[in-house]
Formats: sequence, structure tokens, C-alpha cells
Amino acid sequence: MSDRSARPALTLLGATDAVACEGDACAIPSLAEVTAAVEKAFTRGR
Amino acid sequence: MSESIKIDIWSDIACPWCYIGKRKFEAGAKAFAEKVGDSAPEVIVEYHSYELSPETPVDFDGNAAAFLSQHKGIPASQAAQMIDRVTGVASATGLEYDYDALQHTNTVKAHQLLHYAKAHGKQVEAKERLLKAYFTEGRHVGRVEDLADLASEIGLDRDDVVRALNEDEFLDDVRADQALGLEYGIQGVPFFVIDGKYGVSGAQEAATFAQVLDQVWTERAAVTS
Repeated sequence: MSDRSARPALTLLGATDAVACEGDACAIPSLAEVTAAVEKAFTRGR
Repeated sequence: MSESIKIDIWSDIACPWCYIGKRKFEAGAKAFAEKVGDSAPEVIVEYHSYELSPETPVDFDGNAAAFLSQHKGIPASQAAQMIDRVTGVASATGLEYDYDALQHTNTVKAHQLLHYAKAHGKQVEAKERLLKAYFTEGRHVGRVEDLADLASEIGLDRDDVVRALNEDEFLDDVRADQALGLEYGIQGVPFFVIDGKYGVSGAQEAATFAQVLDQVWTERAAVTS
């Protein structure tokens, strides 16, 4: 069993609005939105 | 310096972006390894259970569009549009989804099979086999006998798989994964946890995964040098 108090918070990396399935459905932004998010992530990384 | 990077991936079988994300992650990990060269760390992947729709019956009466429409409360036409879009993205990733043949079902037994496979050193093979069966082959991944067939195809003991699934031997492991996912605050899948410290959500581009792995590896090298 995991120890909640010992688990560190995660640092999120990458595009925050990439495509994923949430709940019982999938959030599907347009390809343009995904491309823009990835470009934004790269810009932030530089 | 540690010679490996651990990647814990939360995903479901019935999740189109999880299969796409798997392919993109694999491509990103390959690009990372090629960039780093001989000193590249081993990337160790472990899959964790996440049920997108635990209330779905094993024998769901209807197709994927009907399910999506019903559960998301959207018109069937919009659900069909979503499916068309994800099918197109999958195709661009080298995956030929067949939603006409797809059999929507409950995935808790499939998750138990993934844990069984992990205990026998074949989890990565099992994950790929289940996703392929579900999205591209129209195979049923909710019934014990069908799952046992798939398990035997990757070299697992069919009879023992039937026994383990009928006894829910690995159900506690599925629930533990889900509890850990909650602790991490995971609300959507695929979700990647790197070295237990970094989170990456969604089916990111391969280049993004490569960049993230590079960033984590560089950071670790700086700390240990």
C-alpha cells in the first residue's frame, strides 16, 4: 500500500493540453491546437 | 549514476489516445536513445491500471459511437466525428483502428491480465497485444476465455490465466494502481510518471517525449556530477 504522505507532487512537463481520455470519454483538441501546444512547450524549454 | 529511467504509465485498454501515446512515447524513447548514444540509460516501462468506464458491462450492446454519445451526452454525429478524428491521428501514427469491428467492453479483467503478465515478465507484450486486439482486430477483451486466448498468444499459460482471472487474483493490484493514480492526481490517460517525480499527460508528440527524457536525464547527470 502506498504512503500518501511520502509521495512528492509531480512536476508536469510537456504540453499541458495534449490529447487524453478523461472520465469515460476522450478530450480531443484539434491537430492545430496540439501542434501549437507542443511548439509552446519547446519554446518554454529553451 | 543510475543507468535507467523508470517510466510508470497509467492507461486503459479502451482508450484510443493511450495506444497512440504508446507509439509516440516509444518513438520518443528511441529518438532519445539515439541522441544520447552509448551512454543512454535503459528506459524501463511499467503499465498501471486506469479504468475510464468501470460501469461498462462486459457485453455492451452497441458500438463505440453509441457508447460515446450516451456517456458524454453528445449527439451521435459528434461522437462519430470524434471517432473519425482519432482514427485519422492513429493512422498517421501507423495504427489502423477499426471502429466498425471494435467491441466495447469492461476492461477490469484485461487490467488483471496485465498484472498477471507483469508477474511473469511479459507485461509490455501483453499491453501491446491487448491494445492491438481491441483497436485493430475487433477482438473481445472483456471475457476471460478471450483474454486467455490472447495471453496464450504471447506465451502465457492459458489455463493458469483462466484460473487467475476467474479468481480475481490480481484485482487488488488493479485497485492499488487506481489508488496510486488518485494520489498523483491523474484525471486522464495516458499519463506518464518519470522517475517518480515528473508527470507528462496525454498523447504528446514523440519529440516532446524525447525532450522530456533528455531533460530528466540531463538534470539527473547534473545532480550526480
